Amino acid sequence: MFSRKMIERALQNVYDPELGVNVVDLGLIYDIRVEEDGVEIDMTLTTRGCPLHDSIAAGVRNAVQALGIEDVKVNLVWEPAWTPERMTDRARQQLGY
Amino acid sequence: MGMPAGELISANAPDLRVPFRHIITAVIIFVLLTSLLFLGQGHIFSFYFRNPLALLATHATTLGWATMMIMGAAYQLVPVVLEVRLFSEKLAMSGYYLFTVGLVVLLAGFTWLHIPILVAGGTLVILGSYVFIYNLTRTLLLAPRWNVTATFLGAALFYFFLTITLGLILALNLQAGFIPSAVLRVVAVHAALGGMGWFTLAIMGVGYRLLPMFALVHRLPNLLAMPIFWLANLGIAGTAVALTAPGIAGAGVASLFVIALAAAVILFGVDVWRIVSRRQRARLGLTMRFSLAAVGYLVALAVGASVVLSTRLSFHGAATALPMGFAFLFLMGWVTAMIMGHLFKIVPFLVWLDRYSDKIGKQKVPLLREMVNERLGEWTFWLYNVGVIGAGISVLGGITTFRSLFLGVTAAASYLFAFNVLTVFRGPRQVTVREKG
Repeated sequence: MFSRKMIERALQNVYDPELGVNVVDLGLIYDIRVEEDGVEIDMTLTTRGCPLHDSIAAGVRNAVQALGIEDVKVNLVWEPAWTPERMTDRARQQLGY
Repeated sequence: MGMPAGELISANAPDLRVPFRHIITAVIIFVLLTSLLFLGQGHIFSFYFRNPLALLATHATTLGWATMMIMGAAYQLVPVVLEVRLFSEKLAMSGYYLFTVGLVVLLAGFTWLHIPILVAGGTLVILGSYVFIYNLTRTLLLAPRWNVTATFLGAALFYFFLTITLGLILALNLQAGFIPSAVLRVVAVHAALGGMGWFTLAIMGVGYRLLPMFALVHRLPNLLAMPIFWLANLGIAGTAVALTAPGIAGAGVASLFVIALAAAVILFGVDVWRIVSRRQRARLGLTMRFSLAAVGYLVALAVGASVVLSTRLSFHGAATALPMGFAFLFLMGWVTAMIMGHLFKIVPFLVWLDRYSDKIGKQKVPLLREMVNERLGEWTFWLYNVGVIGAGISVLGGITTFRSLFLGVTAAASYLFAFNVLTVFRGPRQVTVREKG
C-alpha cells in the first residue's frame, strides 16, 4: 500500500516546463486519495486550455503509474481556481521572490 | 479507474507542422531582410515613393516576416485560447503555399518594379491571405465564448483584409493610373490600416493573453482593454477616412484621430506596465524583455507622432526622413522586437509539445528555457536594440555613416537570433538535474 506522502514525492518530479517549478510546490495538487485499487488525484492547472499545461496533468498520471500503480485517476478541477497564493515558499524562491 | 494519456492533452491545437512551416519561413525571410537593409541601405532609405528596394524591404518585413509569423502563431493560439478546433487544417496548409509562392513572385515584382509580375504575385498573396482570414474567421465564429484576444484578433483580421485589398488596388494603379490624384494619401491609408489595424491590434490581442501568462499574473481585471480597443478603432478608422476624403475632414481632424490612436497606445503601455509590476516571477526572461522593449518603441513613436502633429514640426528632409524613420522604428522596433521575444517562447513550446509531452512524468524532460541558449539571447537583445535605436535615429537624422554601422549590428543580431531559434529544433542543449523538493 502506498502512502499519500510517497505519491506526493513522486509528483515532485513533475515540473511545469515553463516555470521550472514542480506541481506540488506550485500548488496544483488539491487532493490525493489512496484507495485499495488505485489512486485518485484532484488537480488544477495555472491556465485553462493550454496544451503545455494539459500535458502536465498527463505527467502526473505517468509519474504515479511509474510507482507501479496501474489505476490512476486524475480529475482536472477548475474550482477553486489556482492563484499564485497557492505556491509554497520554495516555489516563490525558485521564481525569485 | 485509469485514464488514457490522450484524454488529458488538449485536442484543439492543430498539427504542429502548420505553425512550424510558417515560423521557419518567416525566420529565413527575417535574416534575408536585415541583410538587405544593410547591403541596400543607400537605395532603400533615399526616398520612399515608388522606390523598388524600399517597397521590397517593406513588403518582405510586413508580409514575409510579420504576417507570416502572426498567421502561424494564430493558427496555433486561437484554437487553444478559444477552446475550439481550427476550422480547417487543410485550408491552413494550402493558404501557406499560396501565400509563400505569391510572396516570392511579389518580391521579385517589387525588385524590378515589373507590373505584371507584381500583380501576379500580389494576387497569389491575396488569395493565400483570404484563405487565412476565412479559416480564422470561421474558427472565431465557432468559439463558444469570446474574450479580449478574440475581439482584438477579429478586428485585426478585418483590417488585414482591407490592407491587402487596397495593396492590390495600388499595384493595379501603377499600370492603369485610375486613382486620380494624391496617391500618396492612399498609400498612407494602406500603411495605417496594415500597421495599426492589422499588426498592432493583433499583437495587443495576443499580448493580453500571453503576457499575464508569462508573468504569472492572475485575476488582474482587464479594465483598460476594451476602452483601448474602441479608442484604437476610432483612431484607425478616423485616420483612414480623413486621409481618403480630405475635403470632408481636414488635416486638423486627421491629427485628432492620430492623437486618439496615440492615446490608445499609451494606455496599452500603462496596461503592460500594470501586468509586469504585478508579476509573480522576479526574473524577466527574454520574452518579457523583448516585449517591454517593443512596447517602449510603440509608446515612443506615439508620443513622437503626437508632438510632430501638434507642433507641425518641419525641417530639411522631413518629408522623407520622418516617414522612413517612423516606419523603420515601427516595423523593426515595435513589431519585430515583439515577434522575436515571443519566438523565444513559442518555438521551444512547440518543439517541447512535439517531443516531450508524452514523456513528462516518465523521464527527465527539459524546461523550455533549457531549449534556447539564454546567454546568446541576452546578447541578441542588447545588440538588436542598440542596432535598431541607432539605425532609427540615423535614418531620422540622415546620418549615413552611423546608419551603416547600426544596420550591421541589427543584421548580426538577427543572425544570432535565427541561429538560436532554429537550433531549438535540434533538441535541448542540456537538461539540468533539478533539486527534488
